[in-house]
Amino acid sequence: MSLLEDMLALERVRRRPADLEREAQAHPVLHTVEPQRLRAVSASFARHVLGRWWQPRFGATFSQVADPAGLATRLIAGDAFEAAVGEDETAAVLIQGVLALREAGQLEAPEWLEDLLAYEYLLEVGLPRRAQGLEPDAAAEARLFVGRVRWFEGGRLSRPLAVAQFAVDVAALREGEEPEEECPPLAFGWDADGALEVPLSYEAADALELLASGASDAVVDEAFGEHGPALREALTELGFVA
Amino acid sequence: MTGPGVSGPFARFVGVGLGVDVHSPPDWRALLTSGIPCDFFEVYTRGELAGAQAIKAAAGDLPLLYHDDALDPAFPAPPDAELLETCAANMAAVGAPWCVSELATRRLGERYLDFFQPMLLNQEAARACADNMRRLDAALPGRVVAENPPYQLPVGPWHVLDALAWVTDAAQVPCVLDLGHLLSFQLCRGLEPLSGLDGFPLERVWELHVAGAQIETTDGVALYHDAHGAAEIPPTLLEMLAEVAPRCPQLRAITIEIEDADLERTARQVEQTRAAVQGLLDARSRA
Repeated sequence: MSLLEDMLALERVRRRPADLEREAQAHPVLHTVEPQRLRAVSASFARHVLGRWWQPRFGATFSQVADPAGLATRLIAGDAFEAAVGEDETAAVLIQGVLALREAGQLEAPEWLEDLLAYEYLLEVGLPRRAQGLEPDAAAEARLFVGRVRWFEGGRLSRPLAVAQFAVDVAALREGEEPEEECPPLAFGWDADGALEVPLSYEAADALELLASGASDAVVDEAFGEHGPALREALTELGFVA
Repeated sequence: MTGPGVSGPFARFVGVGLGVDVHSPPDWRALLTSGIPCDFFEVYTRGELAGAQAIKAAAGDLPLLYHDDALDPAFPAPPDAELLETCAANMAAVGAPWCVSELATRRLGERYLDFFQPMLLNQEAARACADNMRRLDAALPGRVVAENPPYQLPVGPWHVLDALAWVTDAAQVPCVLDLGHLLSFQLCRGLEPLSGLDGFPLERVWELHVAGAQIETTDGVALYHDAHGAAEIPPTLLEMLAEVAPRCPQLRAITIEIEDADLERTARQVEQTRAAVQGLLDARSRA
């Protein structure tokens, strides 16, 4: 085994201490590792990554998980961790890890955890990266956003928009407040100066979808009846419609 | 034994200086006007040339060293040419006679680790480090000085001081002995703070480092967290400094790494460190 392979194996067991014995069979230098110390270092590393990579951006999400440190331990052990962009700048490690654990029934948290994660992701990663002209992780986004977030662009819209429908009042949860029972759709815009978040009525969200497809005023008015003109006017005032 | 020497202020013992990161508190400009005794700065710029130029312009006669953290000499491949160029430009900008480089790596190939993986403690790893230190020493506009890295999980049969001695001998470069990093290793192996030092070639030590640290013990395992200015200097480190510094005949610099400290803590750490080596400072004044 080459030195580099030994170093890579060390990096792996640091994240997966249970693999020490197996890895040491292929990398004998790892026989010099004390298992108890390795477990302590691994736990410390998980706390470090949690505090530096995820807690500052996804604090509300982690606060809803029964065992945040345990989640971080499992995230650093996952295969996705090895493909992290910098300090998980795209949040792909977090998203893929959380979704996989939820699908396996191995993460104790409220049923709407993914909604809160999607909201924090939009604010901290999805919108800022778009504003900076950086690519998001499309695969992670697609998995997280299905049924929650739709992207609109073109047609009669004056700017690209995301419209999200969450199962819980995510904005209140992120602020550490009691969530309201009603959780109307939220529209998000972004530009070089930052992101914009606006609550919408259900009708306004549907109207945006129509306008993004290029629908004329007459089509909108036909769809929404007497509310059509007011909806169009409100969306124009928000700067969403040209 | 360590290759060519250096000229200028660092040709002899300069005194006690501060390791300052231009991107982190305390503000180096405030340090320059604070009245805190400081014989030199060791500058960390993370490669940002403008930071190096700014500090040089403001430092006046204060001697400057450079500390790189991107060359990854423990990675078993030649240093990245672009990073090497950046390091050389920063060294030249501050006029540093040497550049400190830890025997560790922050990347494994394309992968960013978010921690320094210190060199493995065996001959193969030592050879890779020595090859890279030799390359750096030849390519940079001054000397490269090898620093022992911190350990929480040493891997390999060697003692870190044996590894540092082997690398500096093979590469013919001087070294920095970071006393906190040494203590971190000794804690891992259950050894006394200065265990192994008697056989170490102390004439290769050009610089000593001390810094704040936290020692966390969980389930009987002591982990050394090298916190720099975010914590106080453990008393053991100051005792190590007082013991080791007079035994290093080529010592030129004692650096307190103060990144993330406020001015009050910086002043306190300078006072503690100077007190530990007061004899050396007095001898310097008499010379």
